Amino acid sequence: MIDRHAARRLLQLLTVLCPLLLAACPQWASADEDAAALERNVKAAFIYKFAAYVEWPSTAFADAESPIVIGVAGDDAMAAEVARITASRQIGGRPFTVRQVGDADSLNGLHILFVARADSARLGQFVKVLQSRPTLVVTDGDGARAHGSAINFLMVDGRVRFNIANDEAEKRGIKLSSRLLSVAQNVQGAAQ
Amino acid sequence: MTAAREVLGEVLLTNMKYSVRQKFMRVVLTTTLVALALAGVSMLVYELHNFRQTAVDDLMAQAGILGQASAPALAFNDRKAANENLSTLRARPGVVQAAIYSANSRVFASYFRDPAAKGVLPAFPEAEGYRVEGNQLSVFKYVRDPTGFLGTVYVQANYGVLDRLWSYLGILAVVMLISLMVAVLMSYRLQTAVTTPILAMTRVAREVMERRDFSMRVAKTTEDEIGYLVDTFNEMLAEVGKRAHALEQTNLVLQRETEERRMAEAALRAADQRKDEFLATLAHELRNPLAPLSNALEILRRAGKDEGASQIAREMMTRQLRQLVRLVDDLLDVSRITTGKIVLHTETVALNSIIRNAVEMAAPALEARGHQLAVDLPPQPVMLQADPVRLAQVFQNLLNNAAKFTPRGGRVSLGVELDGKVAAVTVSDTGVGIPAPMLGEIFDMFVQVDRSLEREQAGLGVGLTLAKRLIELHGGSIHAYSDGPGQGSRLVVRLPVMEAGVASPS
Repeated sequence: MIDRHAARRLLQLLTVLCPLLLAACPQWASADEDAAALERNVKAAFIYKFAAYVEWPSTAFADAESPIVIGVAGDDAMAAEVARITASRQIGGRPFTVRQVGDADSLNGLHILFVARADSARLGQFVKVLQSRPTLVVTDGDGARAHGSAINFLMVDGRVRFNIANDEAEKRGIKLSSRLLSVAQNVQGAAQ
Repeated sequence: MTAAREVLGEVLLTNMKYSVRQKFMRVVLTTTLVALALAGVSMLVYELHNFRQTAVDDLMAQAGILGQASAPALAFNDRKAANENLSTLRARPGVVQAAIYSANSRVFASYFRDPAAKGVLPAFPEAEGYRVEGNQLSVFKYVRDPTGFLGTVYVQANYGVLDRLWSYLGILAVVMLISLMVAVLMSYRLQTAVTTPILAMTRVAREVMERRDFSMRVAKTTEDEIGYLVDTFNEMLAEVGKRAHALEQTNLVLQRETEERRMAEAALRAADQRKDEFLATLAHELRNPLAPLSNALEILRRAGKDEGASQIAREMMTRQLRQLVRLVDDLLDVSRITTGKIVLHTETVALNSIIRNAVEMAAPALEARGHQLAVDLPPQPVMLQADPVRLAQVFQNLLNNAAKFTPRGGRVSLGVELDGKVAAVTVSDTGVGIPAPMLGEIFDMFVQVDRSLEREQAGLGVGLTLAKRLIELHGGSIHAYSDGPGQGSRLVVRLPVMEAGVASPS
């Protein structure tokens, strides 16, 4: 117990010291930034690729060439990354549109909503606003599951993995490919 | 091409070393073998091609399924899932190794059937397609999902084509063996049907050549072309036989005719020679009396009144004249015989009287040689229809001959035997006899058995010829018998006699 306590204090200390350390040592800061950028890049790519394994109800699109709209809440860098990755790409003949989500009012017409860890506090609000609209909610962080997210990123052995709550997707009329489920770290809710 | 055909022809047909039977078998076997080999090879090629296509398609499909299943694993960087997908290959023992390469050509996941003996995976994925290396088939298949190219699936499996090839060759060998056996069996039966009659013909032909027996025939066993051939052969044989026989007959006839001609020629030459000898003899005979006659005339001229000498001379001249007359008579008879102008003055006459006349006429010759004559006449009269002068002449001739050809002091006998309507008059002596070969010839013109007789004894050699001719004119026959040289001879004259009742003394 003493060890755990000591560890927590050490962690707190590190949390406080880290920015200082990063500021003091550009090399360290740079390495940390690289890791964060890599993780963001992978997650952005995943968000883009999820679209290939997701089937929205036909009512979600105006026509066959309507774009897949991705909303990013709470992480402008991520929004930019997703926009960069999806730029000039198509899935099933549909181009992508990426927009930053500021508040619950801008949730209309979203096919994928990514809620960053920094914005997880507003997740409940988003979910409430979305109700049963066909929007795939992707979250980043523990505990998001309880707030109605369908896919939740997590880190396993330094790699980006994700859990799936299939029931949350079904609730919104979204079908997740069984192949997607096969690569999920953990799947909750019956697969169709 | 031409060379190949020549070689084939040499092998199959034209090589004369082999019999028809062997050629037949060769043709059948070669044809069957070539046909089977061609069929087998083409089926093998087709089958192997098919097999490869199937194997490639199968493995490609497998790689496709793997790629499909592993697309999310690649997309979301899930090696575990990819490895799990690859491990499903364990259900296919043919797969040796497999791998999934990521889009940046790194090995993302791998699978080895035998983990202990880890093979070597290709360092980099290749373009989509397949590759065959020995007994291994490798395929590469791209992995895509709606986002695009994700990576490459690589699967390497045992091709199994060699196993397939061997089992296929085994089946082919068995099929070929059985087919060949059937072909041999069938062709043997067929060729027996064909070659048996031909062999029979060959055998018969050889025997015909060796034995010259054209009566041989080949048995016909079939009604096809071979049967027709056999028939024709037999007919030809018959024709040849017929001609050979005809030729032989002609030869025989020719030979006989030649022989006859030769004999006739010899006979002619002999007759010619006899005639020459006769002429020489005749000249000599005619010349012989002339010297005594000339001497006698000289004696008469000188004798004057000497009655004794004159008498001797006259007797000498008489004797020589008689001899000349006899010779000239003989000559006349010869011409009569050769021209067939002998005329008989027949009358009914008693045989005994004729014989008595003959004996009287021959008596001087017999006595001159000191012979003893025994005449045995039948007691009853035997009547003949005959020319008494000519018949007496015949018997006189026979008696003269007996006297002539019997050494001095011999015995000459004449007997008559009656046998029904034939009277047989036999004149026999104890003289020199007649050699057996001459028995038939002594009746020919100018033939004399012994030319060494004293000249005064010699005749012209026409006596017996004349006798035979005269006897034949009387309807009788004359035969000579002798037991050989020195054993004496016997001449038998058979004459038809008249009925006893009609007979009357002349």
